[in-house]
Amino acid sequence: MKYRGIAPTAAIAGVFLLITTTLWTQEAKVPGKTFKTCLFPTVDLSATEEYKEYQSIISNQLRVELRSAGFTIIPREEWEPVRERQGVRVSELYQGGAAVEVARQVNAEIAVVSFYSVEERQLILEIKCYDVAENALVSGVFKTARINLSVYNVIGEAVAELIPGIRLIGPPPIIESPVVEEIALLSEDEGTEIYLGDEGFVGRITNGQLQLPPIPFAIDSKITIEKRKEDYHTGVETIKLKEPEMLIELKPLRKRSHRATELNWTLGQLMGFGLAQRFYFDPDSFFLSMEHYFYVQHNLSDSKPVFHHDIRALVGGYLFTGPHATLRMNLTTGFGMIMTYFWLADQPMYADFYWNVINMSFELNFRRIMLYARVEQKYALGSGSAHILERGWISVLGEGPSTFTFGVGRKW
Amino acid sequence: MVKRLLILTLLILTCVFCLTTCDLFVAIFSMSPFPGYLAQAVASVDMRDDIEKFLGDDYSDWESDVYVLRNSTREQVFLVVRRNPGPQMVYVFDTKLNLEVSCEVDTQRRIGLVEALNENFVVGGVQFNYSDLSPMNPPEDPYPPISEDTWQKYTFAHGGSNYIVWNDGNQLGCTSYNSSWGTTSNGSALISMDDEVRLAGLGYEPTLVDPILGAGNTPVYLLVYCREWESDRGFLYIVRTVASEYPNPAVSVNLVTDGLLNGRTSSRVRDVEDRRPALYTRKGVVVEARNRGTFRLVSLEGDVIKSFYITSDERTPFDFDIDGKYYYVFNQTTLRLYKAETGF
Repeated sequence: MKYRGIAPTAAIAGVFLLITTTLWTQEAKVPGKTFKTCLFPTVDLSATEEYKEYQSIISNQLRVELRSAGFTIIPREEWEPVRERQGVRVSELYQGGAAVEVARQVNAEIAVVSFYSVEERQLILEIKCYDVAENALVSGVFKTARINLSVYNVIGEAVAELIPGIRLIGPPPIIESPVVEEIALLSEDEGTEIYLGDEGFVGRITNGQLQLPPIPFAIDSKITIEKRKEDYHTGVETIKLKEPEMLIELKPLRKRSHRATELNWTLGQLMGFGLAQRFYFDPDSFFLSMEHYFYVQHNLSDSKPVFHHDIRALVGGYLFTGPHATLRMNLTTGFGMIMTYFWLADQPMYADFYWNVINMSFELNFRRIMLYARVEQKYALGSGSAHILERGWISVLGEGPSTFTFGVGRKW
Repeated sequence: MVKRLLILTLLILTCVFCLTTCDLFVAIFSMSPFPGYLAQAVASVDMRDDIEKFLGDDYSDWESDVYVLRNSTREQVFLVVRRNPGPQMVYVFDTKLNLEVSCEVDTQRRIGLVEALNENFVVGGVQFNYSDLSPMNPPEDPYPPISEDTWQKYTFAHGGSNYIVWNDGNQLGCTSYNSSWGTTSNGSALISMDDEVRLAGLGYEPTLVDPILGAGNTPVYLLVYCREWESDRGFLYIVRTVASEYPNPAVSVNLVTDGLLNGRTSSRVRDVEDRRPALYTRKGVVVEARNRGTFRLVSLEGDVIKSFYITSDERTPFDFDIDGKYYYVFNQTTLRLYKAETGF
């Protein structure tokens, strides 16, 4: 069966159906702007002329679509002399370079070319749209279809898909809402590199500030600023732009801590103090801690003091929040030994080894200082030749956690 | 600047000094994961060699008791070490912790008493001579020669008789023996009609005059523990009885409804536990508080005089001298016997 026989009627019906549909559903979406468009005839690249009637079908459909979308079609009478003058054949007008040159001569902003070929009853259709000023392809559609009635639908789809791509070209869309005219960033971290979400690197803090390049952010929109500086933790801030001129004071970056020195005080060991040194495997994250706590056991009246040295090694890390968070939590575990000796004469020295099963620490994290409260759970191993504590949980409260520690730390 | 610092330092020192008189401050600052008696110790003796020799190799199931007993002429400290099962060893020390005598007996007995006959010491199934502490009974024959079990029972000797006192439900039971431990009579008294009560200790006071009982009435203080199930709290009552009235003391006190009747029963001492016996001293009664390891010194009227920490290890035995000046503790880990000041 030859579709060519029904082609004229079907084509007209199909095209009008598509046109109607398109007219209902599409409107020119660039208010106040009509692009001058040079629409060149569809070129048939088939080996035979058997399917040349599709040229006019495709061309006409493109014309209707572009017009209905608000494009101004330059009449053929205007560009035809130019083509002839330049020695470009009509069959060559599917090539972007030739088409753009002709369009440029007639002051068109957009050049639209289309071509197809049919081989073994398989239609291959391609439509391209060029930005004349930029000499750049801005939109293209490629379709294939069997030669039957569905080919008209495919043509309609191809044309419809082309239009939204064309709208991307031209001047930036008019933003009707007010925009931020000026954004200045203030920071005490000299040399910090500033990155904006989509824009990437936008500058560096110099003399305590950075003027952002003019980017028309809408008022009440939010921008995400990323701050980077060597040996500092990367910081991210999201800021709402409320006024046309914004002066934004950035939060200071946190320096990466490689060590920390702690001074602490433990319930049940209050007549003494502990000193600890942390070494971070990963800055402000995972660490090894060595601690020495010296305390005196005394009843504050008639007692003969007993002296204890609690020495322990802990490993641990922070959970849930990063180094910029004000409240942080860490878990540690490790082993320790408590050496005990007496004021009373003729007493031996004892060494109690213990497993510091788990410590949970809640920390107020400032730039250089941290304050923390720690719940500790210790288990006496009851081993060694001379020990006082029996194997079992150590507790100063009788039941529950072993003890609580309060401390302050300086990060380095 | 220097003047300011000086004033600040003086201010801090004054505050610290004032706080040291505050019980709570002292309690918090003297908390320790280590036993409190270590810091009170004035002497100690290492018993490792003796005890390991007695227990032998690979022996883990054993326990110990400490008794401090005083007769008219001397005060002795007794350490009883028991193998379970097996014999027990009684070590006798003077108050400077010099080991004076030790004696092994085949049968286990839990008793510590200055008995009626010549004021000899009876501890752990051994009768020690009142003057030279020599053991007076052979190891295979435990002393006293009675069939009655003395587990969780309390003893005293008065007027030529020995008494064993215990509670049986809400009744106080008592058996009296003559000086050669022949039974003379049994008696009882109602000590409570409600709640769970238990005799947690007994204080026999042969020297001091009790102001309520009056002169000529040798007091026996019954230290009665009571648990109120509704609140799940323990209480202690100190009940004054007269030694000469035993084995049928003339008290019948319902601790719940008329605890303060006739002034013989103290007010409630709240929040105490009966994990350990309550101990009588002339400075007051020592009873364990709810907070494990912490003890309270309580007046005979039931007022808490002070709280102090000894140890939370329930395996550690200790006893107080009757004056309340020292207490003696045996650490089963270090195998040392400590003499510690009470600070009362």
